[in-house]
Amino acid sequence: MTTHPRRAGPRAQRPLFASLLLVFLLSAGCARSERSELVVFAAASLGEALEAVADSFAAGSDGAPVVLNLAASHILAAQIEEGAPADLFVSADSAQMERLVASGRARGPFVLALNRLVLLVPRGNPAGIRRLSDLAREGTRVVVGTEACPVGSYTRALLERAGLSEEIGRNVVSYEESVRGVVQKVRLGEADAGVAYATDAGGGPPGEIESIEIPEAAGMRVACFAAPLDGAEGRPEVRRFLGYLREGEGARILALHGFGRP
Amino acid sequence: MKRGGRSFFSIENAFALQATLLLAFFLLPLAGLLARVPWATAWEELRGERVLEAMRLSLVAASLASVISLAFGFPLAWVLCRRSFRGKELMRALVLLPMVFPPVVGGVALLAAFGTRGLLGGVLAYLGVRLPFTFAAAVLAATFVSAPFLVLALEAGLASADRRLEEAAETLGARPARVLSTITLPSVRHSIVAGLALTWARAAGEFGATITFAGNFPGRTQTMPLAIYEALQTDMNGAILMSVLLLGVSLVALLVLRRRIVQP
Repeated sequence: MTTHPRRAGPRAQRPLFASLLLVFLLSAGCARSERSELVVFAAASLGEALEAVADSFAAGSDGAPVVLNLAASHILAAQIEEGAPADLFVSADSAQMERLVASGRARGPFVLALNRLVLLVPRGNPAGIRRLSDLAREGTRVVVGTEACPVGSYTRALLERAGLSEEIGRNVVSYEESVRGVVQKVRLGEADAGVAYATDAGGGPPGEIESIEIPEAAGMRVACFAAPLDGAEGRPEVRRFLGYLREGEGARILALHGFGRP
Repeated sequence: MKRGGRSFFSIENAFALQATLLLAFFLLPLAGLLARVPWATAWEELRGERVLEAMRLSLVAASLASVISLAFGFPLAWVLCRRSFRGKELMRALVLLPMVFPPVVGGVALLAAFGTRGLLGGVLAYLGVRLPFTFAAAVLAATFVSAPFLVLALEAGLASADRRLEEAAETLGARPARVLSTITLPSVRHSIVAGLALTWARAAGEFGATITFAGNFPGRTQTMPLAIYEALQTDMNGAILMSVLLLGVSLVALLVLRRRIVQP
C-alpha cells in the first residue's frame, strides 16, 4: 500500500468534516420525521402475533408504523427501567408489569391475551413423552425457562402444583433466558422436551415440533399484560393502537395466533 | 492554514482529538458502570455461591480455550505464514470468519455441527459423546470465538520474525524440531503472549455461542456473562457488580500479558 502524505493535509479534512456534518443533519431529520411511530417492547412469546398485528395496523388508514423490540419480559423491563424509549410494554406475566407499575413507568396495565403451558417435543418425539410425569424419567433432557423469566416462573409453579419439582428438576439440562430459548433447543432436537406456551408450537416448518397438552396446568392463569409507558397514552396513535389490540383487528389476529381472549 | 506549518489544524492535533474521543467512548460506559456499583454491599453480593461458581467456570473455560487455541492455532498460523499453496487467501479468510459470526449464530452453527442432529451428531453419538449442555460445550464455544485472535496474532508474529536465523540454524544441521524450539518459538514469544491475552479476554467475555450451544445451567455451563445476563432481570446491582468484577479480571490479564509485548 502506498501513502500519499499530501492528501492527509488540513484541506483534505474539509470534505470529511462536511460529510460528517451532513450525516448528522440527515439523521436528525430522519428522527424528526418518524415521530409518529410507535415503539413497542414486547415479550418474545408474542413476537410473531404482534408482528402480524403491527403490519396490519401500519397498513390501516389511520395506522402508524410500529417498531417492535422483542425479548424476554424481564430483559425488556430492565431496559425500560434504564430509560429505553418505549411507548408500550407487553409482558408475558404480571410480575414484570408490576415492577414497571411500581417504578411509575407503566400505567393502567390490562390483560391483553391468555395463554397456556404445553409440553414441546422435537419431531418424532424421540423420548416418547406422553405426559408431564414422563419428564421425570431418568435420562430425559428437559429445558425450561430460568425462574425469573415468565415462562420459567409459570413452569416452576406448574411443577410444584404437580408435585414433580424435584423429579423433573433433576433432568433439567438448561435454564433458558426466554421462552424462545426453550423452543429453539427443542426444535433443534437437543432437548427431549421443554415447557413453553401453547402459542409457541406454531411457526417454523410444520411437524418440526409437537405439542402435548398438560392436564396438570388446567386452571393456571397465564396472562399477557400490556400498558402504555411514560404517559404515552396521551398520543393519539398510541390510543388507537391500544384500541386496535383490545377490541379491533389486533385482537382478532392475536386469537388467530392461538391466544385466548381475556 | 499553511501547509507544513504549525497550525491548529495539524495532523498531531487532529489525531490527539480523535484519540481522546475514542478513548472517552471506551471509558465512559465503564465509568457509568463504576458509578452504579453499590460499594457498600459489594462484598456480600459477590461472595454468593452463584457468582463464585460462575467466575470459576469462566476462568477455567477461558483458560482451556486459550490452551486449545494455542495448541492448534500455532500450527495453523505457521502453515498460513510459512507455506504457500492454492487457496491460502481463502483459508485465511475462513480462519477469521468466527470473529464476524454474530455470536448466537456461532452457537447455532456449533449445534448444526456437533449437536444431536448436527453433521457429526451421529459420529459423536456412536462414540458416546453428547456435547450440548455440557461444560465441554462451553469451552468449545469459547474456543470457537476466541481462537481466531490467537491465529491472527501468531501469524503476524511469524511474518515479522527473522527467517534468516532459522535458515542459518538449518544450514548448521539443526533438526526442524530444534529450530522450532530454539529459534522460532522464542522469536515469536511476544506474539504468543499478546495473542493469548486477547484470546483469553475474548473467551472470558463469551456469551452468545455459549448460551446457545451449552445452555444455561448454574455450576455447569453458566459462566459469568450468562450469570450477569440472568441477574439483569431482578438484581441490577448484582449484574453491575459481576460485570465490573469480570472486566477487572480481564483488564488484569490484558495488562499483565500485554506489558510484556509492548516492552519486550
